[in-house]
Amino acid sequence: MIPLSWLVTLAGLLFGIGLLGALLSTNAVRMLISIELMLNAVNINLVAFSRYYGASQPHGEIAAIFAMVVGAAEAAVGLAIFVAVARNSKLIDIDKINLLKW
Amino acid sequence: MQYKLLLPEITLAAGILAIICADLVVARESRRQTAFGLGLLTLTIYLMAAAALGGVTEHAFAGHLLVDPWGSFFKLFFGVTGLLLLFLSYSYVGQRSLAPAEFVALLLGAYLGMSLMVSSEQLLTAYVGLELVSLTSYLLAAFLRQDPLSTEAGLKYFILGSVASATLLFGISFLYGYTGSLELATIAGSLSTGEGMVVIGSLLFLCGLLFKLAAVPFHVWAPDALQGAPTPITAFFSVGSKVAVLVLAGRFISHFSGVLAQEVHYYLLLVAIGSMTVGNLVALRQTNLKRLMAYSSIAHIGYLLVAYFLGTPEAYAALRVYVGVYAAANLGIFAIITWTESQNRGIEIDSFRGLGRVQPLFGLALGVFVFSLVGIPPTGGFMGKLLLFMASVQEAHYILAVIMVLNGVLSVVYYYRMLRSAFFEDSEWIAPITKNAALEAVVLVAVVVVMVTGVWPGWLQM
Repeated sequence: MIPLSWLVTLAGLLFGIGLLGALLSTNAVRMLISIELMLNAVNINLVAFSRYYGASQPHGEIAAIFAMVVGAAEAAVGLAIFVAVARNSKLIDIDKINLLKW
Repeated sequence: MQYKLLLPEITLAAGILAIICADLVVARESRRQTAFGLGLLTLTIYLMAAAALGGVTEHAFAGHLLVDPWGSFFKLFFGVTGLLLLFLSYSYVGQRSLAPAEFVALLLGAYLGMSLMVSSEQLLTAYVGLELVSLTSYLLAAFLRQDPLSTEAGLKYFILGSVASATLLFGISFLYGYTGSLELATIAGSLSTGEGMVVIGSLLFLCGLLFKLAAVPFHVWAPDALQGAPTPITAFFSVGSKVAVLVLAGRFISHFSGVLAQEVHYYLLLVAIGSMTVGNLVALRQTNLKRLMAYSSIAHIGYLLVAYFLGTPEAYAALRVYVGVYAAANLGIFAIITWTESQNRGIEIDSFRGLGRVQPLFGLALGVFVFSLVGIPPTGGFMGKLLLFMASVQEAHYILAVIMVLNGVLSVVYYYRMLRSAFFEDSEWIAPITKNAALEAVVLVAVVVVMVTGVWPGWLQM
């Protein structure tokens, strides 16, 4: 059995990679993928803790299912917005989308 | 029957479905009337349902839901602001020929999420409610599909908002991991101060919430999202979704106040003072009305967070008055902005030039709202600020009170520029100037709320 601390460390690393990717990359689709990575890190955490507590405490697994559903909805909304932006400006390079500032 | 407790939310869900279905069958010309009519009906029933549950305190659905007077107060608040927002956006949606059913359904969807959030005592329910608000908010921000500003606002809001949601959920996973429960009361009960995982969990969770509140240093998205979004939606962002997040943050903080480390409390104080000061300072150099209001709302969130830092019953009472008056004044100002925008005047401060001459009602009302936001008697804003000062002096936080007063003085400068533009500068208005009864009604209601609260703040505390 994999120790709990390994799984939590993995989740922490994944979350960190996702966060950096979401904040540093310049391509909107890559940002979306990074955000999904963050959500997956959360799911690993939830499922790992849930297994740690045993079958009597399934809250974590249920929460992970909710998180997946919400994540899918989020991706759909995000892609719809990306399409709208791309139609207006012909690109989704974040550095070039700079009408709003200060 | 437990479902009785969920009646306000069920009403909203049914209303959303009805609006979408009705849009499919009615003629193209009457779509807007149908959607907004059904929206008004839904919100009216919602208000009645929420009022009927006014005095009830009960847990339901295995602890997922808590109906209590504190939450019911905010449900009534949401119902009223929702009705005013529908009046505010009716002509806007028509003028821009936006899809009315989608607009109203998404707005009501956000209200459904907010309603769930204020009565959730369980982290998962709170998260789902919060996401319902967030997802609809992203779409509403980008609702002017042809307008590059609006889609850019939606994009920025979406990316930063999703990062915040993921952070919040990561925090929830740690809180769950440490206690094996998702219920706030159970989590708080089985915690002891200063455990590493708890500190990480609650800090991540709080950061996510503070982000949604647009508190400094998580405020960068707010001015962009609020400037680019359609004007009625800007009004919604500043009085709707933020208040719901504030209530959720309040539940979290009040449960955890015993077990959170002292540092977290001072972190909250730092965020509150930072929001006030940064919001007011940056607002000084804004010329776009929506952006200015965005920074002003960041500053007001700072004041409201002070109430949570203090955490006394007096502070919570002050918070109710403050939120009520702030929402009324903000909605009123946005109604006036919507009107000037509909006259093709743009949304700069200069757009108000000559407002006092061509539309004296709006001019005077603008004066009332500005006085209220600054906190000058006899308006309600003065009462809200006064109660908050008294609460912080009572707790012997004198420096905090002084900072709040100084910030009030600072805000006079930029609010005054709106009034100066409306009354002491003039410019040509291109005829014909059209009246708008719905917007006038919103402004009048807002003026009445602001003035009545100035004399008798008790009605918001019942």
